[in-house]
Amino acid sequence: MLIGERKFIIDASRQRMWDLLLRATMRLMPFERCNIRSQTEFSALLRMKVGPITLPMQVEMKIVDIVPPESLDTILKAKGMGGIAWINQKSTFKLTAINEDKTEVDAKIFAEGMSPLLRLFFLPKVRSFAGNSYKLLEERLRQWA
Amino acid sequence: MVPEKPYTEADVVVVGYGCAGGAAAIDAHDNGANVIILEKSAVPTSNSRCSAGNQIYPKDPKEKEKFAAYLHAVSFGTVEREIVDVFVDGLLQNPDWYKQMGGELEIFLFPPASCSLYIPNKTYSGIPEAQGLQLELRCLKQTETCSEHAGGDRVWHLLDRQIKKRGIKVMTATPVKELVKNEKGEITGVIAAVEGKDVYIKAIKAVIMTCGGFEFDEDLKRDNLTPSPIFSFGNPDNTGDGIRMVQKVGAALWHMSKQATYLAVKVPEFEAGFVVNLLAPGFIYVDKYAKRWADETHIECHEFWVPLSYFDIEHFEYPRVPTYLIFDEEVRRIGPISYATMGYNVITNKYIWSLDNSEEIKKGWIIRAKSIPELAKQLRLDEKALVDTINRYNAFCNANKDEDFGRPREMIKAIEGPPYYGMKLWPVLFNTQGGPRRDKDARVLDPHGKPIPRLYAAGEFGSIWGFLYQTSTNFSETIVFGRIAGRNAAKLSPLES
Repeated sequence: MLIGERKFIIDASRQRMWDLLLRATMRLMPFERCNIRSQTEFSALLRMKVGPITLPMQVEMKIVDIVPPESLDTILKAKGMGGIAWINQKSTFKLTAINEDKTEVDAKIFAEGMSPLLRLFFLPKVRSFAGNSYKLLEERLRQWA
Repeated sequence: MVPEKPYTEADVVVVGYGCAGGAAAIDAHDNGANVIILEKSAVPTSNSRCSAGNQIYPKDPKEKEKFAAYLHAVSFGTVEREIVDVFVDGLLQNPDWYKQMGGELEIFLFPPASCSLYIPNKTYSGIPEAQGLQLELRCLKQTETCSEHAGGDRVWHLLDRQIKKRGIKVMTATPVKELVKNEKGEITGVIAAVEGKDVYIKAIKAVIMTCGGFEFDEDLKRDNLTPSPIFSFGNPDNTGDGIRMVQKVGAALWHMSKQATYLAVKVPEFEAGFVVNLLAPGFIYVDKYAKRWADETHIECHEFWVPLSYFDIEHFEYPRVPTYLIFDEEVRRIGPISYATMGYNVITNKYIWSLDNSEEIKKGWIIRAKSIPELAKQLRLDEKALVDTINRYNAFCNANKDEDFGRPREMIKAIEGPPYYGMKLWPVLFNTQGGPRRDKDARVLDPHGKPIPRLYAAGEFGSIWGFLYQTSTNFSETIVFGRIAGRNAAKLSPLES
């Protein structure tokens, strides 16, 4: 299920975008206690704000299908509330060079599985979280580029 | 003089069980030799095993000529071009070799959250030979056959399984003390300590030395390296024994003053240092006078020895040794400030750094303070100087421009507090490069360039890299020249009795 997407063009080379993309993505989320297991895998604690409450989620993230400087995917599994709230999501990032100094960024997030609790009560929140994250991603990339 | 009766013998005796030793033993065995590996440590933990285990490749294999020209230029005349050509040829054969053993290489993507470990694919993009050349780092993929470890440790385990499968004998806790040479000048074996007793282990065809560097030999470091002091992230058994052994049989040395050095936390409880990895950008490095000295995020992580070697003649000191790391709460909370998958303290000592750094604060390794002057006081830095430095850096962050060192926009963030944190960091060797000079066939040479018969070397023990260090060439070389040494040693005719 597609829960968020954003396509935009940044005034920077594809290589520069590649160098910034993952850093920007990582910094969008307020991770804590990151445990880097290998060059493509880590776990972390994520405190998600859902309305007035803060939901601590245990996150496992893996970067896959890396084709520098064109595309990569991330697989994120998050669970909280003793396991009754969980989501598995996949994000895809594709960088297309428009010319030497312009790059199109095409980002999509898919929910590949979600606990009934999240689906019933928090799906709009999950969508808006994904949408806001990508808006922030675009802003940050523009600022850094 | 050659002892009469050997304790044991093999066609090929490999001294040192890291990745170079493993590769040498496998290829010697697969070329028909009977092999013994002698390892000084009770738990084999070479620097290659402690490392990130990355290997460098030209993106397009057809660019191998260009790649070799680039590496030769980086070496600045310290290695012959023919050796670099052999390295590149061997490198391109390695992926198939890994496959035969159940391994597979994949693109290495450095943990994108790291703000301190800077590893560009092409380290010296400014030199003419780099123009148009595209490089990529690769590492061993996590698969069913290589599941349990990361980096160089993963490669070592892959090799170790192959060593066991082939029935190659490994004698651990067996330090080699001397090379044995006959009247013809041939190396016929080694004297090693087995259960406290010195014994002769005969090499019917050759001895291959893959016994690492001199990271824990204070005299050799003082004579050859800057800055000082300088510690290591690797095995404390790397005390340069092999260097003295090959000198005794007449080997020439090369690249003794070269090194790959980063920054680490060094505490008295551990002989090796903890490699630093900062996952958020709210940090700076300052010298003994509380002054920043670089764009902290863009010093190639193997080349820290270059800026750290700055020597202040007036004060007669290395002002950046130690360097002081100053950081904020976000850096403290986001994750361990020591790299979790690399180094002797992780691989062998099994130290697990706390995920929020709280244990290391309790131990006093990290200083926590309610104000910058208090932090300065605890670190014994000038209070006003540290306050001025942090204020100046924070002002650059607010203006989104580091006017002192050009730290890039994506990497600057004000140091916010309280609390504030600080600690001393020290230069830490990933490896030394010096050791016996060798040729393209991995043969050890004498000062006149003549091979010492039946003596080979590989790995960081006389690395081919003798000037600045191109990322991931040490690990690549370990495998390439380990294999070359193994193959060539196996092809020799046996010693005449």
